[in-house]
Amino acid sequence: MSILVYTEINKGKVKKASLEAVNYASKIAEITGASVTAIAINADASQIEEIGKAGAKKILSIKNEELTSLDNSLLTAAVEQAAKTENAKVIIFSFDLVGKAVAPRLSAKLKAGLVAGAVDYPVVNGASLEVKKNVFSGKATAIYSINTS
Amino acid sequence: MKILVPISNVPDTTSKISFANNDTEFNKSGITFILNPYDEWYALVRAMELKESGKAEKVTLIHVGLADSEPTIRKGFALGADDGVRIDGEGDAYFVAEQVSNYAKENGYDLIMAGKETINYNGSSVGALIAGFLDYPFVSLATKLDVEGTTATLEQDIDGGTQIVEAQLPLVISCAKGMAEQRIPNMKGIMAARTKPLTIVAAGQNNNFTNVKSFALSAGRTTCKMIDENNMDELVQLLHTEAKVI
Repeated sequence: MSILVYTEINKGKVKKASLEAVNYASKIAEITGASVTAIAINADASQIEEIGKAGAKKILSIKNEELTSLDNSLLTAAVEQAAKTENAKVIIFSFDLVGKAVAPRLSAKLKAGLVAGAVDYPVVNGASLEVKKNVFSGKATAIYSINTS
Repeated sequence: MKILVPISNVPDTTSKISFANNDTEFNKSGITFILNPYDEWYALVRAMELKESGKAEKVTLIHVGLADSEPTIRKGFALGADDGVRIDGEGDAYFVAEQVSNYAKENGYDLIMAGKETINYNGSSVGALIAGFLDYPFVSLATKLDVEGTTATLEQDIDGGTQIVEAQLPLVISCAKGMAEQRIPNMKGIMAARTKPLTIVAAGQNNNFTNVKSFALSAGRTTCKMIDENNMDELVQLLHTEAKVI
């Protein structure tokens, strides 16, 4: 089993939010005993190395210029294929423009539970993950239980 | 062009939030509910502008919720929507999007315009979920929209700039600030809202993949803690154990 994490290159650098997402995924991997696989699209060797240093054990490097267009249906298809290949049980995105477009779309495709905007590391409770997120525009937090993998 | 606008019924922004049943449920007692501002100001108002310019023939509201949300739907009618559908059920974003998608699939809409997020669950996910279920193109957090024939031209903010996107209908978008300006319903709209058709549809299969286990009020602002500039170890420890940012 693996934890899959989507990373993004912007202006020649791995986005800081992507490195945080890889680190977040590695913490979940520690809890669950899984390994972290990162998806890097059109990344060069130094960018791949940086993603590895952030905690990814395996990196799927995809070279396809069409995927830089931010077309979320193409990105969704790429991540969906990777998720199936890697037998991923958890998929992590940054809560940014791409993550907000691709993660829900992927959730619909994979029939998988989605928690958007997690603010803390999850807790494993039996077969489900419990994730904390802000609700009511920051007035409160909620612990969500995700009942799928 | 037929436009579908999914709307949410949310607590007024000034509401004092509290929880019931051992902090497992939102306490609705004494709360005024409103039409989710992002659905109203950005999505619905722009949909009405497209109709007024002759580019759309009909604007339909859709809401997944219980009967007590009818005043919110009528507020959308007062702003000009032609008709509405309430799918009788409650659930998470996945459930809501699946219900909306099923209705949209059966009834054929060219453009589905969601607000960027709801102000209660702040998920930003219903629009993209609908696009995923329908396999339609999706443009998230659009700040401008125009439609000519079957081509939509949109703007969205990206890192360091703005991106102009062209997409073919049918299309799903989530609407962000800049899409339209808030409107106040006029008396004619308020009177007409009472008699506009609202169809009630039973919810389909209940695929709730997430549930809220507990709520907690956020801590208020904490006091500022001063660390001596020569005491980096303490700073690192506090950032790790208290702020939990490293």
